[in-house]
Amino acid sequence: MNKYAMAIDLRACIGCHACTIACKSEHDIPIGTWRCWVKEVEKGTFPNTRREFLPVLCNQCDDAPCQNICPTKALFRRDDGIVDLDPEWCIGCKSCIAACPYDQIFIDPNTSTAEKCNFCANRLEADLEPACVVVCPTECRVFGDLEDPDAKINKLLTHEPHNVRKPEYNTSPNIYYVNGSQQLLDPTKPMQSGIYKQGEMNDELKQSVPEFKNDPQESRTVYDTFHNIPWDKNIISYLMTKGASTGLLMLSLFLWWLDYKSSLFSIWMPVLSGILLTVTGYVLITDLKKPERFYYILLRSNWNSWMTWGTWFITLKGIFILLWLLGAMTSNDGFLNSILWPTILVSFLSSIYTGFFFAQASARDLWKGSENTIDIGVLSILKGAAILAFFVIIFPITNKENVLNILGNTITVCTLIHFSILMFSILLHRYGSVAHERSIELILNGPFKKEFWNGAIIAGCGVPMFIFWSIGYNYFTLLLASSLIMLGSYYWDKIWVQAGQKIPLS
Amino acid sequence: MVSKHLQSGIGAHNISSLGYPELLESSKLPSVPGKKNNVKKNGKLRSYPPPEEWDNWTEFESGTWPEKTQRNYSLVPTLCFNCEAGCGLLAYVDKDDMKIRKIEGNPLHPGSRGRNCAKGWVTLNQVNDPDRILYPLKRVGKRGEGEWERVSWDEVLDDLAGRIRKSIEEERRNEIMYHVGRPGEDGFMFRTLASWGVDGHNSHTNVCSSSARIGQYLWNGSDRPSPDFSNAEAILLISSHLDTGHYFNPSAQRIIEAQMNGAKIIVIDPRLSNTAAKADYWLPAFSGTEPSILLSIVRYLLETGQFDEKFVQEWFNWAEYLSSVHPQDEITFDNFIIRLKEEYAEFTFEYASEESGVSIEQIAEVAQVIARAGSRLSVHVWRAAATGNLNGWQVARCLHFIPSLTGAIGTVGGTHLASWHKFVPSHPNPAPGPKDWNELLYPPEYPLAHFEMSFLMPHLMKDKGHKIDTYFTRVYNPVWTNPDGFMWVDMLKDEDKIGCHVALTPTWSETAWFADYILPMGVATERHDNQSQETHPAKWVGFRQPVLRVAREKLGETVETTRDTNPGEVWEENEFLIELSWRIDPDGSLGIRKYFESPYRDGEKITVNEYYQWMFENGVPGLPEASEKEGLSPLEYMRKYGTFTVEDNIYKVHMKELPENDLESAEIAELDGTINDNGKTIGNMSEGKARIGFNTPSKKLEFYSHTMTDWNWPEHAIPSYKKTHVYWRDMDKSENEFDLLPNYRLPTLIHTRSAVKWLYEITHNNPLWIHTEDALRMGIKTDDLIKVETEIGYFVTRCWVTEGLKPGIVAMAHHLGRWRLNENIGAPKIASALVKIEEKEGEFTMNQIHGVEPFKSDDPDTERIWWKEIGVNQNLTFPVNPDPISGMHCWHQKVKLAKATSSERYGDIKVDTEKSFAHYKKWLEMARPAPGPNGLRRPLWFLRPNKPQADAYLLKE
Repeated sequence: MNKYAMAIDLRACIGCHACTIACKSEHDIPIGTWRCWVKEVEKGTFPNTRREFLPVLCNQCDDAPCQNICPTKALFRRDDGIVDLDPEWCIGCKSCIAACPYDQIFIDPNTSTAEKCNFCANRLEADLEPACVVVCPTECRVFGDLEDPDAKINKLLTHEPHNVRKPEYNTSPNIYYVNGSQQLLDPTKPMQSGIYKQGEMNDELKQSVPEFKNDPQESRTVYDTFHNIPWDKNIISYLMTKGASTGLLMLSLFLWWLDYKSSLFSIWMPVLSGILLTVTGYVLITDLKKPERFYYILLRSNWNSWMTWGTWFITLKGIFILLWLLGAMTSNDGFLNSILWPTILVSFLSSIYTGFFFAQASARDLWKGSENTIDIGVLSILKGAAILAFFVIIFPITNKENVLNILGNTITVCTLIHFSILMFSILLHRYGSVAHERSIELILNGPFKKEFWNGAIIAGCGVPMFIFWSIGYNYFTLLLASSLIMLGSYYWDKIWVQAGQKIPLS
Repeated sequence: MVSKHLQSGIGAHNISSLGYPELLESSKLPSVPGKKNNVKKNGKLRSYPPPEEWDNWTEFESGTWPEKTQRNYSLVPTLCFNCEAGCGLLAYVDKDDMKIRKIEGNPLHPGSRGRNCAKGWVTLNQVNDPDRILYPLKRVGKRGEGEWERVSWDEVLDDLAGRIRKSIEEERRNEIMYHVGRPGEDGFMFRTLASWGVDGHNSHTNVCSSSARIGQYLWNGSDRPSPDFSNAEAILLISSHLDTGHYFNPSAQRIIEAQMNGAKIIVIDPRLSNTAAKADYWLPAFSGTEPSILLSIVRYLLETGQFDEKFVQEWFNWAEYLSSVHPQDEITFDNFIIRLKEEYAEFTFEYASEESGVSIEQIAEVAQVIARAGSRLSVHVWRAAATGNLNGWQVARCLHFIPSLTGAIGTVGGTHLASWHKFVPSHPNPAPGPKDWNELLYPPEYPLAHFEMSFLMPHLMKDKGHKIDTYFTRVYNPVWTNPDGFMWVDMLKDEDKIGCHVALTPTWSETAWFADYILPMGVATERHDNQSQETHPAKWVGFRQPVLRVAREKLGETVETTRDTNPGEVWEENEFLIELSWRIDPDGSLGIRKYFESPYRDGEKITVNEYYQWMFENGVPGLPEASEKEGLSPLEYMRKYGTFTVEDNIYKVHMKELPENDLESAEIAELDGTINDNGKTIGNMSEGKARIGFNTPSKKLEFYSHTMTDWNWPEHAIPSYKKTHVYWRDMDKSENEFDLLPNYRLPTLIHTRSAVKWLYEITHNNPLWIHTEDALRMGIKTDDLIKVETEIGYFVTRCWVTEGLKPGIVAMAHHLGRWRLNENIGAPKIASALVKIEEKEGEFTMNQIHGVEPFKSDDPDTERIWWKEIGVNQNLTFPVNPDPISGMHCWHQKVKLAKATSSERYGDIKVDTEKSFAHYKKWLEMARPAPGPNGLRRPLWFLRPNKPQADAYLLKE
């Protein structure tokens, strides 16, 4: 069997960008997107300045994060090791983009499906080398079969020291670089200026780069391409609505189980939870670039993907809500008792899977801490409690004081846990990743500084705790604290989604 | 006698470790005409489909992958038409819809060997350019107002033929001019103009390369080098051959090949080009000080005896030097060496370092590398310093001194002459040169210019009252490209000066805007041309073809004209010129028609197929035999493969022996081996035999140029260091004066022809490079707006702060800054800003209304354009700086920088053309006009495109 790989001898690369064009030509790649390109980095001070070139393309990883996270198995591995993509099965969920640590996947605006390098598999079938290899004036790209001991690539790799991009991600890349410096291979090393030497950055990229200091001691990126971030507003909404839906359902059912047999807990809050779940589903489906294909996840489930699991949890949760409402409206308490704990469990799973899902989006180091999964669970209860407190106050129920006491205590406990996790996660938890440090830096001192301190910490945790501590629970403090908690958790969700994706991957 | 250091092996490499014996062997291989298949094998994989399958090639489409959609292709070779290199391309014509699916490289092409730069494969973008001009257009309203109507080719041809016929009949032949930017062909246009009897060939050479040309020409009679980069041990470049070069892709391949085999690359350039970035030694010298470094290396080689004494003795015209400059000396080689050392005694490494700002250690190290390389030294200078500076041609003169001294001329790994490697086939039925001399092209003030004083055209017309009746511009955009563009606007708008301006162009340009006719001509896949370039020690000819026409003809269809298979009514120059010439002289009374009659059908008009049929049957040695072997006609062979190698492994052409019968009445000078016959030098003795030598008057390498003395420039007779007009010591730092380097190219663009989406996505802006130190002093950051003042005006642009540039110098790429005057037409919209121009008594202002914006077209990509600022057309603000000797426009400008004020916006430009005209007059005063000896307008041995007949050379008072 073949095992295709590429070695790029950077000693020979002259930065002519012919490969970029050859790739665009072979695959008709639209403007604003790239399967391959050549990054340029300058380092050193005059007259010892150097400019280096780094052609990048999909690493065809042996352990490909994109393939693991793809919920519909649209991304698949061929027998020859190439990670290929079948756009017919792609639903455009962009998880693969969030998972690729190398920024090598994008959405094709013509087809609205994912796109990536496949070593020109269509050419290989005609025994032709990839287009970027053929065009190269200096033959710096050596493509070949690792299984063939006589292949030039094996000779090159035997004789020359080489490395890969981000080996610490343990993806076993199949693009090898001869003579690649750290400044070139590690995207966190060079600084970015507002414009490149012969071109501008797109607006989005320009806003996301840290302020450029004219520090000639640092290496500088002088040409690169930009990549739109895969996850933004819709994902923030999803975190909010799904969390609230889960929390509401879990707390309502829990109160019902504690014998607070109001229709608020048995019917109206499950209905609201169901509505919020529907909104979640709507937001998720509209975030797909191919929304009409959303059901492919259920048809071609990839059980390695947390997105698949999540979809099933959410679907099951919807089913259980319907069953619950059926039982509640027919006042079949025996039935309700029998599905109470399964419903709470499924609901909880539909909340915390998101932690595993974000961690599977392995491009982003901010999302890797396991405390995030706990935090997501805690936050969903917090959101649910905050909303529930509002309805308990305005809804005529018996034992209102007791219920509000329970909710107040729940809010207090969850806020304290959430606060502790944030403090641990932001201030203490370090795992030796520069990208992670950079994200934290953006949160603490960068563009997210105000939203984090004023929004997530002071408004979301500090003020509610302070008024509970100084005044105690009453209608006013509960309503105020609940509103601030919703605001704070919104800011945190936003920061968590956005700050994670601000760091250049390539 | 072999020089001592070579005998003793001082500094010699262990050549076996570099794999050179293999190369030496290959250089001895007999030269076999034909084609070399560069389809590389890599296991079962190949780089290209095998040529025998080109007519029926099937491949899976990427667009539907992994579903396997089979495409049936006819692969038709052609030549790239973007830069000057003429690399091979291979068009994939889909036989189902007869459209071009993609364009790759031609693996049979000996120069490019199946590999291409970014500009090669984007030819596909040019074919599908949404802003293409598809039909002939005629101006409506005043010239430059931008109103156009579609006209038929018939109407155009009749009108132009009538005008030209009238000019010829009225003996106003000098009022016909053809002005070409990128020729991309060898001979067709010269032949056409010669047949019209018109001295009207104008070019872009003097904004590009005239200084590099004359600097070498004076040495060895070739106006450009053809280095054997692949086999070199040291490569000395005053150019950026790894980003652009002349010729970028073929040269870059071979330079890197050599470097990977252990060769050292040395680059002298104030700016960190990609070439400098790849170099083993980057010497950032102040502009114009390069000769000080080069001459210090010369001095080092002389003083340490590390030069090829035997070669110098045999081939330098030292006797001529001594007898002319030191008549009191006894004429011996030893005396020459003594004098030579005296001439360059001041050029110590210390002096070179003080002048150039490059460290002594680095210069010394480089000198040693060069000494070690011996005869394996490849050198090149193109554009760059030669083009940038007053006296820049001496950069080339001094550069070629070094390989001449080390005997690296014509050797394996050495520096060769372009004239040895470029092959121009004979064309059918050639006409003699024109009888007249056109003083607008070669004014008497610039008798040595290489070549036409093209960029002075508007100034000369204003100054001397020239007129043009019919002015063709072809792939030429002087309004944008040349210095002082508003003078061009002024001239082109003046209908009294230019009777009719015809723009032959594949796409919109700033110049075409001021035309009367815009005639759309094909891109690389839509036209016929034969082209050859000196890419390595071999002679080859390439064939550019209209690939859809060829694909249809291969399928058995008959195609009348290339127009029939091109998009819209896009045509090709060759068919157009045949038709135009025919209509100029329909009855043959002007003596023109006969040159356009078929060699195969008496009295009938030649077809483009017959033209090339004749050329390939009669004008390319070895081609008929090679074709016959494959059972093809020579034309079929070229249609199928696209290239033919006439001769391979060409070394030491100057050592070719003179034919015996030439020697019968010849005399051999004992002193220096010169061979004379009837008062004319015909060759030179070397290694005991009579050799043809070089194409100079002495047949030797002319260290001393008698021509320069004869033409009143005795101080320039030998390679020397003369200061530039932007000498660094003349810059006042406290006034923020800088030397602006505006003439560098980029690997991804080529002037104004490459305004296509894939290239502009990579490169779309030309910020002003400024060194960190200078930026800090002025309080400037990257992205800040800055005002750059020249002698005649200013422009406003953004800064890019960098460590890749010498302090005191600022730099700005040449390609960007396109503009248009109409929202929808005038320049490619993906690459140009919409501007408005206002004029008041010779003062022009230009302001950008908006930068690039996305727009709707057949190509969805045009709505995805994300770049906005498109650069600034700095050349508009440059006065003309004609070098009095080479005629080169010396591109560098002394500028003053200031932070932009709040009222100044990106892209603002202001120019006073009265000042620019005064500047022209000032530089004109430096010239030393003809006549030279014998009342000549120009030395007879100098090259001159479209050379007139001998009588025209006499300047009649």
